[in-house]
Order: sequence, then C-alpha cells, then structure tokens
Amino acid sequence: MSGPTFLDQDAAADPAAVLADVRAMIADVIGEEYVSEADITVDTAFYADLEIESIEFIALGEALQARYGEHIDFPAWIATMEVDDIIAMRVGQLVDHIVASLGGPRG
Amino acid sequence: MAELVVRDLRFNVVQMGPGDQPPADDPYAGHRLPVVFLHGLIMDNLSSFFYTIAPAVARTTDVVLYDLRGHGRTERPLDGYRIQDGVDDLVGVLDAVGIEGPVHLVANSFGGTIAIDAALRIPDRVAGMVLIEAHPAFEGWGDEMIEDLQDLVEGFDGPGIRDYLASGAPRSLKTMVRTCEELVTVSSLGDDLRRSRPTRPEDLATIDCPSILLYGESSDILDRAFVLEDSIPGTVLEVVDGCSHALLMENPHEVERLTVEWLDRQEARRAEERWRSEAARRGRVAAG
Repeated sequence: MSGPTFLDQDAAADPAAVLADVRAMIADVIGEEYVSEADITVDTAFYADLEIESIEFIALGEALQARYGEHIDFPAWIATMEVDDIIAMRVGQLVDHIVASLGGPRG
Repeated sequence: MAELVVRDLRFNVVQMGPGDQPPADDPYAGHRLPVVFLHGLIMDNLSSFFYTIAPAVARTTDVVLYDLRGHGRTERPLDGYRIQDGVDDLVGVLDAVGIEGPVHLVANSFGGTIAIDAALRIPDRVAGMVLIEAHPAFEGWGDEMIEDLQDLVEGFDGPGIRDYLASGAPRSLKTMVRTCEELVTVSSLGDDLRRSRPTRPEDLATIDCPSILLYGESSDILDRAFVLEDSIPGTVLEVVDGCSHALLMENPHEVERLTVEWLDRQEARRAEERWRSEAARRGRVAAG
C-alpha cells in the first residue's frame, strides 16, 4: 500500500466522525446489553474497561476492515503489536491509527 | 464479511491471505493449497489460531478459520454435534467460500477428531493434515469426553461460584460458563458425541493423505498419538518438550515452525509432481 499523498485529501478524516464510527462498531460487536455507545470514549481501554473478548476483537477487526479496508490493513497493523500492546490498547489509539491512515485530520 | 449461512446455520468465518501480494521469495506462490483451521471443543473458538499460527500461514496462502457450530460467534443450535455433522459443516463452509479443490487441515484437539473423519469420508477435499493434540474418536471416546465436560459444568456449582458469576465475574468468564452449560446440559452434544461412529485404528490405515502429529510431552492423550503414529500410513509424530495437551497455547512458536515447515514440504512435493507430469507430457509430445 502506498503512503498518503496530497492527492488523498478526499480521504482525510474527521477524528470525531471516526470515533463515532468506531463506537457504533464496538457496541454492535460486544452487544448493547453490555456496553452503551455513550460510555465509550478515547480513553476507554478495550480489555480493562470493555472486557473485550479475543473473538470480539477479531469481529471488530472484520467490521473495521469492511469499513476502512480500502485504506488500512488492520491485520497487518495488529501483527506489528505484542499481545501486551493489544491488551492495553485504548479506543483513542485505534481512532488515531485510522485517522492517520486516511491521510491525517481534515483541515 | 465474516458471516456465512451453512446448513441453515450462521457461521462466523474469517478469511486471510496474501491477496495479490504473495511474498516475492515464495517459490510456490500461486500454487499453494488453501489451509483451513479447526479449533477445539467447548471453551475454544477460532481466536486460538487467529492469535497464534494462522497469520504466519496466511503470509503465503489463503486461510479459512471458522467457529464450529455452537462455538464462538457461530450460532448454537440444540443439535447437530455428531462428528459427521462437523465434517458436513466443513464441506458447507468450503463450498460457501468457493473452495472446490483439496485443502490442508490444521486442527487442534476436537478439531482433529473432525479432521480425521474428514480424511476418511471426503478424501478428495483433504490434501493433508496437521493434527495438534488430536483426539481420535476411538471406541469409548464420546463417554470419556462427556464425563469430563459434566465434571467441568458441575464445578460451577462449587461454593460461592454462582454468586461470583452473578456479580463481579468478568464478562468473558460468564460467557464461557454459559457456553459450557448450554452445550453440555442443554444441547444434544453429549448424546451426539456418544452416537458418533467410532474411528477404528484399522480405518486409519486407509488414510492416504500426508499428515503430521504434534503433541506435548506431558499430554494426557499421548497414548492416542502413538496409536495414530502406528495406524496412519506415512505420518510423523513430533513431541514438543515441556508442553501438555494445551500445546498450541503453551508453545505457539514451535507449533508455527513445525506447521509452516510441514506445509512447505507438501508444496515442494507437489511442485516436484507438477514438474514430473509436465516433463512426461513434453516427452510424449516430443515422441509423438
């Protein structure tokens, strides 16, 4: 995959919109009975706060790939991390990665 | 997306692979067979392969991981848990993802039970097997499995456990207990395992695909490994030091190394066969 260029301006992302996307996907994967979208912030830790299960994290990855796969290779990104990094990951880190991969914040 | 309907059931399926960018140094790029992963019983799902050896295999070839019926994010019906149902599900998943030809199966524990039955019942779809701590369905296997599972479920009634599950327990533990109870005490899994046709060691002699057996040195089912080694033609047993039946979790790097090397050897052998048949064809053309 080639890096972002000036021609990628259309793909530049609004961090608030990406966060809203990610919150909806997390609530969908884990189930609204366990987590409400309103409770998910950039500081929410996937494991410590959401108690996300390994199989749910994979499902989230699939949902993200379906949404942003044109711009981001999530399995490759996850493969660069140690298990401890994945366990400690916060929602904000994921949002930052998506925003950066889409060509940086808009504006 | 990851959801496929197979035999009227929603299956959670994850596909990975090199896409159109296989590693430049892979001599078998474009010729490799797909690899399908089969996980273990009850407390297992596709994540045990997803987070261990599947990504290494997916660097060079297409891989398919799915949650077995009743497990992970696949639907949990009340019945259909005989070993032959597992094989029928495997065929259904392969058909659904458009894989018509043979595949390599990489299977852990109960996944190996299904893989062995698949090699016997649908040999045209099984090119080879990596059997990790496989549980062959020898006579009495179903009773043994269900007794262990009932002991596990009865353990949830121990002092204070129900209170803890109802209050402070992590969600993952609650999910695990619910999965166990629904499969063991509500579904027909126990009866289905008992009703499954047993595998006889003499049946194993008819398996003609290559295979490798990976077991931990302190595995409680190492005796089965020796029977499989004696019964399956051409198979090779690798015993990994310092590991138990939980070999895949205890030493994923060694399981990955052995699996990737074995798959490479199969592709080398297939490349040699392609070369020989091409040479023979050219010989015929030249002579004709």
